[in-house]
Amino acid sequence: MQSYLAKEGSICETAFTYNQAIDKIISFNYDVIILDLMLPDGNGLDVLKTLKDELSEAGVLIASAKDSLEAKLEGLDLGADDYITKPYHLSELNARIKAIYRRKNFNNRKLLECNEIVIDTDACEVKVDAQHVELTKKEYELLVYFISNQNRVVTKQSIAEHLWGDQADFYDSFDFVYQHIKNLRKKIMKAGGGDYINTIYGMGYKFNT
Amino acid sequence: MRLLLKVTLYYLIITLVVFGFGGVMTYNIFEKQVQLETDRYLISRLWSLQNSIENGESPYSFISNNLSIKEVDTSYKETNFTFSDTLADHPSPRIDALEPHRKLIVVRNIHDKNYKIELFDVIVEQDDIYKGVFESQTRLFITLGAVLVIFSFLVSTWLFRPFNLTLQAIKNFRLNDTDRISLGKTNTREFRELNEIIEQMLLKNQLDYKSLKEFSENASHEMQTPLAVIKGKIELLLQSKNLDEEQLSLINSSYESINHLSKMSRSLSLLTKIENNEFTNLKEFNFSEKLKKSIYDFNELFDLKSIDIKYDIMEDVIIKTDPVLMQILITNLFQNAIRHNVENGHIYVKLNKNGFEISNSGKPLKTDPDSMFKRFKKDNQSGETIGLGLAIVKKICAVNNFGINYNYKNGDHILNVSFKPNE
Repeated sequence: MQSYLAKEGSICETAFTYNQAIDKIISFNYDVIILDLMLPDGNGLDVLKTLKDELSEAGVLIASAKDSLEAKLEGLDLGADDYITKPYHLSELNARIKAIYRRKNFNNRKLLECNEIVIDTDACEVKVDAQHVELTKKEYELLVYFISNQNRVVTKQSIAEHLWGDQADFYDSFDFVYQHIKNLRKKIMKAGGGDYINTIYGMGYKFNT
Repeated sequence: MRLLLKVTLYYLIITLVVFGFGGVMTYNIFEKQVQLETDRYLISRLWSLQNSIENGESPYSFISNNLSIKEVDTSYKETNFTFSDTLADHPSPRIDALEPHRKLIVVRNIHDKNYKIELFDVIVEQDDIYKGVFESQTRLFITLGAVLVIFSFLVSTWLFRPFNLTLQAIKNFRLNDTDRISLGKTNTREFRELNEIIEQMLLKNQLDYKSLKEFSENASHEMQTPLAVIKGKIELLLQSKNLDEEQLSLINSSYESINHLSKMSRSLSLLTKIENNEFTNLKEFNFSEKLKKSIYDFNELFDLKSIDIKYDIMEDVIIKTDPVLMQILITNLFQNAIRHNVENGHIYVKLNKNGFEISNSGKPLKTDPDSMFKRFKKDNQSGETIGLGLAIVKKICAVNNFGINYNYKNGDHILNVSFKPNE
């Protein structure tokens, strides 16, 4: 996870125990904290409580193997920004971290830019060369997902799960992924954007910039 | 048939046989006694007759219809008592009927004269004895039978009470009950032993089940972390430059297998959770709305596969159950209806207050529809799906006491869920 995120140029620090985590959050300020609930010497939720007591501004993403609704609600009630269950796709994790980061840091203009493509994540609007592009909800989500994971191979499974969640539980959805990507590519190119989406044989897609 | 009733019945049959033999014996004894008494009486009459004649009374004055005296010549010797059965007129002259009599024939020498004396006496008729014996035996038998039945009834309610309680307790026993089962006290040794053994056995089962459950829970839970690591590493590997096609396809197939494994373990742990009754958030909610919303959510997928969706949903069907479970149920059914559909197929959803039905076009089943509810049972053994969907559906129906049926008719797969248990 660390090496995956470090490739983006983010600075990643890890804490393997509850005590290390507490030390670090008291000593430093982080933008985003990824929190596992089951730590060898304590509960991740207590880390979360300490964070909130410290009035930390860090966004918190809980990544846990517990997938019951109660566990999720408890975490979110305590002030976590998002909850992702193991095993997750790294690209999905990355996209969610970016989303949290966007929410935390671009307080006024939540813009996502990639060359000529500009996405206003507040209004869910996409512009290519300042020209408005009409996208469906799924195409929009797909584009944000790609830009969050640009220059990386994203697997079709992770795309399907990102777009449909639990309903993506069947493999037919890969055809649907393909359909959406085809439409998205067409729309961007029609608006004068580049052909960024490359197909990686058998695996998935890559948004090259 | 109840054990006690059976025992009583056998007992009655044996008693009947014994009473039959007893009747025959009683009859024989009775007859013998009656004969013996009659003979004694005849002998005592003979003696008093003899006395009277010896005292000088005329022998002929004694002749009556049950006594005859004849003088016979002296060549006759005195004889011993000879008894025989014969028929003679009824002692009362008014009754004109032949009755069985006992006859005593004897030759006596009194005052140098030989007399042949014949004495009769009416005896109790054989069929009278038979009737008497039969009647008394029958009454005795009926009394005994009645007493036995009443007794067995009392015994079954009182003496067998602890046994019945134990039986009830076993019947109500669920393996996933956490509290220890207690079967109550009894002072009957056999029942006490039975209860002890059953208590031990059930406790052992509960413990075994619990540890098995914990194992499978932990296994599927703990598996998620290493799976996440493997998945992450593969995704990382994927980011490396200059992968050739062969390497990509190797990565791809391991990636797919990992996904499959993680889905499988998630489904299994969901099944375990449902089994453990972890979904107990019972709420009354509008099922019609939920179903409509699900259809709306799936609309895109219906469209992409060109499936024609039609529904007939009764408004405001309220059911009380765990909404999360119901959502899983509906999602699973819709997924199946789409996955096993054909291009340009159709899906029809029907809901009324008794239940709902989802039917979809699809290829005919090769196996028995009921077997599809089993875990890992798939109609086509392709590796694409896990084969736990319908097992989960069935489990959800079971914990909610819903009935579920799967049929294949006229090219349609029909899944029927009724809010009442299956008959």
